[in-house]
Amino acid sequence: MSSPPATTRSWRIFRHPGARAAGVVALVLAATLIRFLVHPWFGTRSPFLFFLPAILGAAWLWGVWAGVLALILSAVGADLFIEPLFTLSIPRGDQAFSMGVFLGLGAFLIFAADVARRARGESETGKEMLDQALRTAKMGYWDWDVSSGRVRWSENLEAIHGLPPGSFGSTLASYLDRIHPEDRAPVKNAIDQAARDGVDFEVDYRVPRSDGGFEWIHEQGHSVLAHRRVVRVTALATNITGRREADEARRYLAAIVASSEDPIISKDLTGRILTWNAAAERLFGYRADEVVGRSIELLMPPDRMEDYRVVIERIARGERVEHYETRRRRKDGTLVEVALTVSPVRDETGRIVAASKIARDLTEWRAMERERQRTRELLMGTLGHDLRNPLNTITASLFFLRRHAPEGVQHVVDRMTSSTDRMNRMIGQLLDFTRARLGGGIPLEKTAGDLGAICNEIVEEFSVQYPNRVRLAAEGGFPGEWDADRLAQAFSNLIVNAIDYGSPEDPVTVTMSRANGSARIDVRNRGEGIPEAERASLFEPFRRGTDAKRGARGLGLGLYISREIVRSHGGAIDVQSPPGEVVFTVTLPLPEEAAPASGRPPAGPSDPSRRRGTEG
Amino acid sequence: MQSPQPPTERFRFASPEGRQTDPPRARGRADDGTGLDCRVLVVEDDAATLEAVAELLEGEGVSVCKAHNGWEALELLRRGRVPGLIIVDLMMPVMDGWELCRRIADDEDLAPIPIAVVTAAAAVGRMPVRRNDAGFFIKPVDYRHLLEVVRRYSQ
Repeated sequence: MSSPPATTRSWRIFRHPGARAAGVVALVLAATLIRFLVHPWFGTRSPFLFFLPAILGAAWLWGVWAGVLALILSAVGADLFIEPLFTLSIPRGDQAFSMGVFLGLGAFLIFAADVARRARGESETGKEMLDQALRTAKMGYWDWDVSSGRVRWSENLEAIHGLPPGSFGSTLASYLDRIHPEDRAPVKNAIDQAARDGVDFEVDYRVPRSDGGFEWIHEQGHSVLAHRRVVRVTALATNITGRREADEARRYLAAIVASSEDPIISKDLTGRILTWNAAAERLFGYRADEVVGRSIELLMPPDRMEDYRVVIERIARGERVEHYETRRRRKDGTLVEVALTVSPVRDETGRIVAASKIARDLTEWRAMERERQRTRELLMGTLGHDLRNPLNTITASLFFLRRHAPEGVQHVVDRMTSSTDRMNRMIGQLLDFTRARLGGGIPLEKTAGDLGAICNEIVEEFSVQYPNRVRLAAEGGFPGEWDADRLAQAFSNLIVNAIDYGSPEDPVTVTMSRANGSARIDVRNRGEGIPEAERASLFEPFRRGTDAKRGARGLGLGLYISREIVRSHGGAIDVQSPPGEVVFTVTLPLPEEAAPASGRPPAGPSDPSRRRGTEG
Repeated sequence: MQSPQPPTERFRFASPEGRQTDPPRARGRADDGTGLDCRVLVVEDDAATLEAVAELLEGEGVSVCKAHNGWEALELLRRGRVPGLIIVDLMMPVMDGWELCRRIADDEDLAPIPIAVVTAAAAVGRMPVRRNDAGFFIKPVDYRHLLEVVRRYSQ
């Protein structure tokens, strides 16, 4: 935008009244001096002429009062050049008349100058104000003279377009060049139509940025007509990138909400429904236009009115309500089980103004849960009962055979017995797997006891079959609440694993120690290490080792079940493999007030119903 | 019930003590298969298991009477057969092991009879009521252990 005229700025010093008066005096003195210098030629003719410019100038520059002062001073100055010369006297009547005419003319000049001055001042102030307003509003304009083809733009137009100064030439084409190619034709058409038909237009277009993004510009155009012909087209441009991006984000979010499979509802703190998505329509049977503006109580079964108020109160306090299972009433009156997650919605100032609610239809989830439960029971029933019954028949028959078959076939009975044992172990593992996977963890029956005693018992059991192979080193007691049978199963698995995969000439060592309020049990064997890549999946169910050291392979559930047992106790299991070694580490949290082990009852045999042999 | 043909042609049966035994004769004294001399009552719905367990016990010289469910067992007991031990499976049709145990416990004459419970169930939620508890076994049963119990109560 053009800067204010230089005159205004350089004459600003004359804002001060004294300076103005001095300026007036200087002007009049200058006029007097000029008149004096031309006196040889003029004599006493036209004594007033040279003073008129001074009056006009003073009035134009500094206003009416400066003009009046200049007029008075000029009257004095002009009097010097009236007969008798260089005296302040007006002896003749015609001279007085001339002075009168001069004063009248001067007054008129003052008046005229003032009028002109005001007109100019107003137009200038107006332009300045307009420019300022446009700058503040971050709007720019361009003006196209249709006949000449010349285009003028406001100084800030390029900045508004996100372009460096000098990007627009002086033609409409150079301006159009800056517009995104896809948007160029519509803009050009709109301008052409405005120029042709004298219509106004509004267009949005993109201007590519150097960073690959876009600036969005909104433009409102107007055609200026003269004698029914369009002479100019002007347009006001605004940068709307921020608004556009916000709109896009809002549209995007709105689309997510609309397409969500879960009903999403928002309501204000009085319970009035504000929004209602398509999934809510499907679940509750009400269309959005039926419920928006109405109270959420519409969905409440009579027995749930109270807990809904509790939810609203919690929201008002800024809390979030998560997975709140309740019932809601559909339009047709039927009830539906839902899980609600309700969150406070805040305005820009952080004030809670509404609540957003995601409802999840539990019908399907419940059906799935029932199906899961059914599968679990079916598996447990099949494995526990239907498979173990024939196994029991075989066991009984084998026992009979062992007692009565001749010596020569006893090895057959042995083989069958060992296979039956293996099969039974696998059934036990599958049962434990089913419990852990579908039943929410391996159930424990904890009794007070010493973990050291449990480990000791296990190691002793192994010493029968593998003399001197397994060694236990324990420091102090480890009193706590344990499921002795389950932990024995877990440790047995780890020791069997160590025996099977460790080098046969080296012992398997079980070390018990305390670390950070936990019992730490290390089961260590020498031998081939476990590669890093394999370690992560070691505890996964149905995992088979890559080597085939064991002739008779199991299901690959042993380590998984061990981990589940340890986890059920709140502990953790890990494996390390330093060179030539494999170390399984079990950590089990000890009770905080660790009483001496002797103060606790020893780990006695538990309920006979809990005897389960060696299922591990 | 017809007793199965013992495989005498192939095997010679011998008790651990080396005493010659004749399983069919040992329990085949009555045609109803219940045995006149009924030291152990086995209640088991799985026919093959029932036969195998009976055969095993008879092989050890223990006379056995058999019932396929709680109802049959109760009928036998009410008819005056009082065994030294009852081995009861829990999950059975008609009348299950829990119900049988409850009825025995409620009957003053039968209540003192020791009962060993056998089950294939993965987890037993509640144990049956027994006035005289002779043990609890999970299938597949450790028959060495069961035999000790049988010997203790059937002498």
